[in-house]
Amino acid sequence: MGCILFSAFAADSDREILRKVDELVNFEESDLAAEYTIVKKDPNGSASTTVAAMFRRDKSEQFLILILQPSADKGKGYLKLGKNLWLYDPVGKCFTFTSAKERFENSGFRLSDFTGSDYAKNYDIVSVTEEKLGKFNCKVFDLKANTNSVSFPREKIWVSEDNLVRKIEDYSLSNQLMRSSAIPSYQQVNSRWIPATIMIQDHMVFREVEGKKIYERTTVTIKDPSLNKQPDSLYTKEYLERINRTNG
Amino acid sequence: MADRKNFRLLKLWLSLIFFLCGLVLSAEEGNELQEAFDSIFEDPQEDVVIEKPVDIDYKQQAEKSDKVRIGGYLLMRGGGGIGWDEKPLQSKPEKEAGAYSKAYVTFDITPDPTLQLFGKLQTELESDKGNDTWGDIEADELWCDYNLKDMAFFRFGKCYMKWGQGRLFRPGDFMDDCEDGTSLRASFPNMLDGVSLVILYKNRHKSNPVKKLRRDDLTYAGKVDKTIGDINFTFAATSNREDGQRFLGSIKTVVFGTDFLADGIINYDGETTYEALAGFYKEWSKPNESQRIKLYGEYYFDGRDKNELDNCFGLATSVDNLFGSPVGFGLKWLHSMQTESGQFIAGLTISPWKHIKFRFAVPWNYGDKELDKDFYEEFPIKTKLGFTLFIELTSKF
Repeated sequence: MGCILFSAFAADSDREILRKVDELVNFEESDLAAEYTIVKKDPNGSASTTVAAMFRRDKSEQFLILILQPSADKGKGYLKLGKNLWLYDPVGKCFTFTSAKERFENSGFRLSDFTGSDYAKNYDIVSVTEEKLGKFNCKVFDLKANTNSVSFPREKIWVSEDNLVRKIEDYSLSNQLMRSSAIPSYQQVNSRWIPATIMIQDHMVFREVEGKKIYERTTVTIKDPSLNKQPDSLYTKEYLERINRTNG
Repeated sequence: MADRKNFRLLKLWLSLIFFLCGLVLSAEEGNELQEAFDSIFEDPQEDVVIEKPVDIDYKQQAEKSDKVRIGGYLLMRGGGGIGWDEKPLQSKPEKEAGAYSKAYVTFDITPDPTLQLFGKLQTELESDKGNDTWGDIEADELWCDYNLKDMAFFRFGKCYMKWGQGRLFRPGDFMDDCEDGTSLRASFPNMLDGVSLVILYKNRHKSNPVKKLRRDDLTYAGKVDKTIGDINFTFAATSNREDGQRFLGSIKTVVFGTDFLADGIINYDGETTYEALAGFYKEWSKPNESQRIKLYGEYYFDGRDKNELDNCFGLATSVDNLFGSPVGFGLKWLHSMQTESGQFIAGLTISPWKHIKFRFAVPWNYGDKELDKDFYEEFPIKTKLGFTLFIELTSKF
């Protein structure tokens, strides 16, 4: 009886940790804007850099991402309204519906990574263990999705003692490791946290050199977060259309 | 017999040993890679506390551009085609070859973020017709935007607008002829998920031009967007004294990464007729290559003529960077089931060097009904079956 009570208590406490994890990185009270620099290094050694301005309004599940660099893509943008994601095609002058699970500008970073987190709602806890990750003492949550709307059906997350996610492993339905992400440092704005850097290793994109696998790596640097209120019209298709310009 | 059994056992043991060795080695390799990745956490940068968040206007930064920007591109195309009208490959073919150049110039003047003037001008040089001077300059787009405190956007001029969800059949594109006229559009982004009102002026009597504004030349239109749950709803209507009224209801959603769409149209010009469209769009991309595959499929019920109701379908696919090569491939097929007419085109593009592109196409047009009015736009010959080859040079400036 005592054993059952203890495991129920442990499960509740683990779920409470997941809730805190979500709460710390979601900005419900204000808009969040920041500059994202995404550097993708291909397994063959070539690198590409994309700089984007990101605007988030977690309260109403909205975000807008506008590309600032490379200059050829300036003005290209992605708009998320609730569960729908829109991409404006300036050549065809029309909007395309797209999935938030898609890779952002063909990098290891996904569009869904721009949003806050919702682990407590979208995932069930399969197991919790403890592990040391470098200097961090972490709880490792093995999570299984309870909805189709998430990018990965299974995730393992390493949560440090301050309730911040330090490492994520994303798995497919067949339990194949798809992607590893490391978030070694965060920045705190008011009482909320946003990653300072994210390093992503895409296990699906690799090249074998002398028997060793070299994976595609993406480094995301997030700087100068701002909590200024943004106009409602920013999160609209009209704005996205207006800001897109093309020279043909 | 015993030797054979021993040999089999030995084979089994050896296989097991090799399998286990492989497993240990791959696990070790995996562990090595994982350890290298985890080393990021050995001495990470400290978390930082931002006492005072920065006061950066990212919106202004994203909108910021040079006050005047001029660009454009030059297109030179040469090639030819061969085609048959009556009995393909048996009758005497029609042949044509030639070359032309097109120049596009764009200008974008933005005195401040509330006001923008955009223009795209084009002119053409038809070398094959013996013209050695550039033709008249035509405005492909020429419009002015005004942003009223982010509450309303106004666009006035010659511009493109695409309404409706169809890509192969476009019955819901009420603003299709917008590019041939002058329009004033007012958009209110904060009302529902976007409300637009349009007045379009298009001279419908060019052969007998009149100087005063005719009411027949004016079309009034409105469109409302609203997303509820995972579905985007659009309602639109147009009214023109000559054409009557048209009403559109559209839905669009994404299921398992595929776009699903449907349009329903009611036309009224003294009598009521109906059109309907349903379709899907799916795109695949391989992350380690630039190869992208697109697939469209649409069904269209054409009830505009009550005596000739028609059911049509269309399929189109395109593959960019086929197997990582500079080759692109595309197919498009539109078919009318009642009239047994259709249009089919297969195309191949090869971009071996920067700015240079080879285009090879096989257009095939059968039956009497013209389903795609832009079908012959790019071909030098207008026959039932043809083969065309172009070499294209484009340069942006």
